[in-house]
Amino acid sequence: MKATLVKLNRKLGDKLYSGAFLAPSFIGVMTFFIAPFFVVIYYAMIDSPVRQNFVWFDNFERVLGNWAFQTAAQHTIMFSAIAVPLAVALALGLAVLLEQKIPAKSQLRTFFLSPMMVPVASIVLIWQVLFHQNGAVNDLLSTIGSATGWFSYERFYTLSDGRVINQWIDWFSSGYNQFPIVLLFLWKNLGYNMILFMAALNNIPKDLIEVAQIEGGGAFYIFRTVKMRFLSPTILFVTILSLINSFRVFREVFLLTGAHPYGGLYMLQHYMNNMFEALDFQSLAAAAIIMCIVMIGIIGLLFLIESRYGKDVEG
Amino acid sequence: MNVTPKKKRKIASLGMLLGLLALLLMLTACGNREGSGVNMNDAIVTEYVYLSQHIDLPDISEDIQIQGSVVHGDRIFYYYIEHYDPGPDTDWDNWVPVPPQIVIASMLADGTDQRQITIPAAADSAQIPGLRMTEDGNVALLVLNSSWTMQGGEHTLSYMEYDLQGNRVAYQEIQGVIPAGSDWFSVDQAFFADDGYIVLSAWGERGMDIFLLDSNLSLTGQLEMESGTQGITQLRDGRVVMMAWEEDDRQNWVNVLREIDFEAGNWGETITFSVTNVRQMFPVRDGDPFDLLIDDGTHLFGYTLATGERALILNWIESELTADWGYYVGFLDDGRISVLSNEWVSDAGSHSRGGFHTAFMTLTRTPRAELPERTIITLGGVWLSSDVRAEVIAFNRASQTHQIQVRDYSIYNTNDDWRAGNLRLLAELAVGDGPDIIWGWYDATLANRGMFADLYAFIDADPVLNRSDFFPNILAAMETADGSLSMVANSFGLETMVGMTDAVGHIQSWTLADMLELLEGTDDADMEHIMGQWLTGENFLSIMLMFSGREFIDWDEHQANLNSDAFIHLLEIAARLPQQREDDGNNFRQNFVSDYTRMRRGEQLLISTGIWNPSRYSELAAALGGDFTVLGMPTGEGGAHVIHLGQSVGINAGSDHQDEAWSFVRQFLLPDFRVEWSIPLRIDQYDAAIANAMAPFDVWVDEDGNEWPTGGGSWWVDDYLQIELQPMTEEEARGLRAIVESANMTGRFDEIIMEMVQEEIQPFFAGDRTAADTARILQNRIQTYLNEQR
Repeated sequence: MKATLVKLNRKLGDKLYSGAFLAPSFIGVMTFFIAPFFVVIYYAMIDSPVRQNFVWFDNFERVLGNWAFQTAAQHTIMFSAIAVPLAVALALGLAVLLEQKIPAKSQLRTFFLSPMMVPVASIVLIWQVLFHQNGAVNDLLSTIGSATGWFSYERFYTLSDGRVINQWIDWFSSGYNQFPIVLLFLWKNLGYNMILFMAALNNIPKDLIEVAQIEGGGAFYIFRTVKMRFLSPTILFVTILSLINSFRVFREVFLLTGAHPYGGLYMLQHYMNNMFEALDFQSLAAAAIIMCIVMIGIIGLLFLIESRYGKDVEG
Repeated sequence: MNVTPKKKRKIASLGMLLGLLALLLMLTACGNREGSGVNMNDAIVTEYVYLSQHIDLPDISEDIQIQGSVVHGDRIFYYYIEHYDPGPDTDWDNWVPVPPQIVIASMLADGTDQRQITIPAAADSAQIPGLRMTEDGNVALLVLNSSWTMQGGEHTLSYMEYDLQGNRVAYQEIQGVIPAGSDWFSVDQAFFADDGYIVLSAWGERGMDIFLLDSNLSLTGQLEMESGTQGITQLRDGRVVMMAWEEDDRQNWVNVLREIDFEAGNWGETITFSVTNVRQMFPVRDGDPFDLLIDDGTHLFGYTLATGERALILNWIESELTADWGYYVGFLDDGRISVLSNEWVSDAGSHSRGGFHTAFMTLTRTPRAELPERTIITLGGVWLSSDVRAEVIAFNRASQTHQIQVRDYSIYNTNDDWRAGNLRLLAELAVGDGPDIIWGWYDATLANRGMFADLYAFIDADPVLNRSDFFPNILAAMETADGSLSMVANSFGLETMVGMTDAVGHIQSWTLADMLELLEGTDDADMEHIMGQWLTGENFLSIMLMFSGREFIDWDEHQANLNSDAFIHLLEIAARLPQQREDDGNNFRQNFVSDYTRMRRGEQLLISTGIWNPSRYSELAAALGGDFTVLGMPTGEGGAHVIHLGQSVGINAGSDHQDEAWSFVRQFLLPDFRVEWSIPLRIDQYDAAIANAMAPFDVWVDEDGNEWPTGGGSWWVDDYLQIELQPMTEEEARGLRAIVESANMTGRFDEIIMEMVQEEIQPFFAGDRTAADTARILQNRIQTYLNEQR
């Protein structure tokens, strides 16, 4: 009996000790993650913080019907639909390339990883210089055009009334404004994705590849049937990561073009940031919850796809 | 290593203790960071309150402006200049001007034992930059005597000492301060340091200079001062410092304290400090632990330079002082504070007529616990006007059950962000933690957010107030989209466009299309003859966006119409205007010609002008000197007079004290509330202001029977035009009434939209983009912004 009590006391003591060590983290997570989550849900269901009348899903209805939200969602989906597959495919391609025996492999790896170290402000400055209407990209295009004769890209054009205008593309204020941002996104994220794929490629059992080679399989066949199956968890992970990073590009876009950019650069984060600035916390909370639900749906779908095609290779 | 369970437990306990210690250490980093100071809005409930006792002063004429006050021991001294009034029966041909007198009055802190000495000034104009009491109990003062002749100005700066019987005991002219041959010279302020040194800040033809005088009144140093000074004081450690403005590394103008090194005759250390709105500074009292005392217009607090900590001593409003301007603070030996207030109070409807009202108070420190408990109602705003302060004081005096505490959010403003206070107020409202009463500029976006109670419900239930008391069109301009009244302003102004009748009288309608057609047919060189010499492309666009009604931005429907031909046309016209003006609107440059003179000469067709109060209409008539037609701002529907609402007040919809808040708010809408600077919202107040503006000026009659008006006055608009003010005529009164009653459009300046416009027109003005492309881009961006607010 005494031994049992001692044992119980010791177990309780252990639990208390572990609880005490866990408490700061637990309190922190509760305070800064869990509790605000419920606060956001509450804010999304009241009419204003002053009156605090429950209106249930009215705010969601209003947000979903708002043209600005719809436009932002459309642009966000379009950007992610372009940028994420490119980020995954190009990173995979680079990883496969760097797995080959090519010279300066290590230097190339460092080269692709280096954009991660560049501060945001520097990136913004560089992109502003490059993609300004009178910037380096337009200058380069004009030089290529005039040197090769493939196309004409003169800077100045005289209108019928005699006025001279600059006809170079104003990248951030034109229909092409997603292009520099997609480029920025790829430049920043390719390196990290590539490293992840390279690690995954290294983990593919060599004997399976040898067997496939012995069986007469070509490089593409081996890649499609063997490597891709083993890469599917990594592809899922990189896709999710790239999807998350595609939202984080807001930071650079905001610094480049402000709170209300032209056209296709106005995305969901702009909408939410502007709602915060305007102190419309109800719209902000509703939009955040809608986005969260959509993201859960997309990621759930990705998991489903991965589990269908990759479960036989999981450990 | 073999670790026993007992040792494991000891290690675990030690680890836990270290973890807790780390957590506590992290928490100590919270709270006031250096330079931020105490949040005095939270600390407004101090342990002590300084209760005021009002003291009667001998009658002082409304024409007298008290120049200063000092405390010495238990006596309070104040001084002013009294000019000799010769009276209506004066023989002007033989009259010899009598120099003014300097009056130095004194009394005990309770107003008794009032004494006075008079000192004749030596010239037409006398100024007292500084006065102090000597150890012998004499009055020592610096006097600047100035007179002007055809040959120029003559100035004398002298030091005088008088005993309390009025006998002069010392006199010395101070040499080296006034430049020889100066036509114009003025001493801004003088500070007497403890060791006998004197610091003078003076304005002359060279600009501002700082002069250092030793105890023998010899000039020991002269320092240049690029920016003006806000005050001079002595720190607890004895250093004398002057507050100045300097540009920091980010080209922001910041407050600094510049030490004066008397020995070297030069500047010493420059001390930065975080207070942005210093009204006055004072040396500390005996026993104070701070470095200096600062008055920011709402609070008096002690300030410690090293930590930036502010220790609240008192809130002026709680001590029943509006603290708007013209008050002098002195610290008595027994810990009481004396305040002499000498405020200018305008007559209704005019800012040029009125007089000085002097009040004297002694503030006594009283434990708050001894005061009767009252329910607190909070009033929040930024830069609260004297009207609001006076009403808060009146409310607190009258109510036994409730007290209004003021939260002045301007204390959150910093050198980097002058809107921080306003943003803080908005953020607190947005999270449901705002004050019960909100005071500030009318914000349509905020008003439509549903955060404020509907004031119509209170007005309709009020026994005195009625909607018909107010101009219905102006009231309608304040309504939100759902027809409720969230915030109300008790006064307003109007913005309109005016032209001389013989030039524009034939214009029957005045739409935006009419204006564009007019400008289209004008040569570039003649553009400034249409709209004025200050117009640039950017501000022309801003004016049109603000004042064109629904033509470009329909705020009710949240619809932008910027890719219209009219806007493209507008852009093209804006491109023809200068992008900046070389003279920066310097009205003081030589040979400056005002718009009024240009209008009179026929060199300018139109002028955009504000009508801010009833007498302004007469001033406009006098300035233009002829028949003029008020066209209104050109909108899609025709000429419109744009309403600018004055400071507004609203009640927090979440407040638990809405009825009590209304009992305060309604004061601003009552008939006996004085609206001084703008056009009153109340029709009866408006009529009274018009009657006042039409009242004949007082006159005095000379020996030849000529009548000379003693009111109104005149001023030089520019080097060529002097305007004589006259009482308002019936025709002018009718004209103004018609304008007021027809105004139905509020101008809406949206900073975000204006920023977008400024960003996008720069490439257009630089020739990198067409007007159509600019309009397309602006349409997209601004429409997105408007859609967010649906």
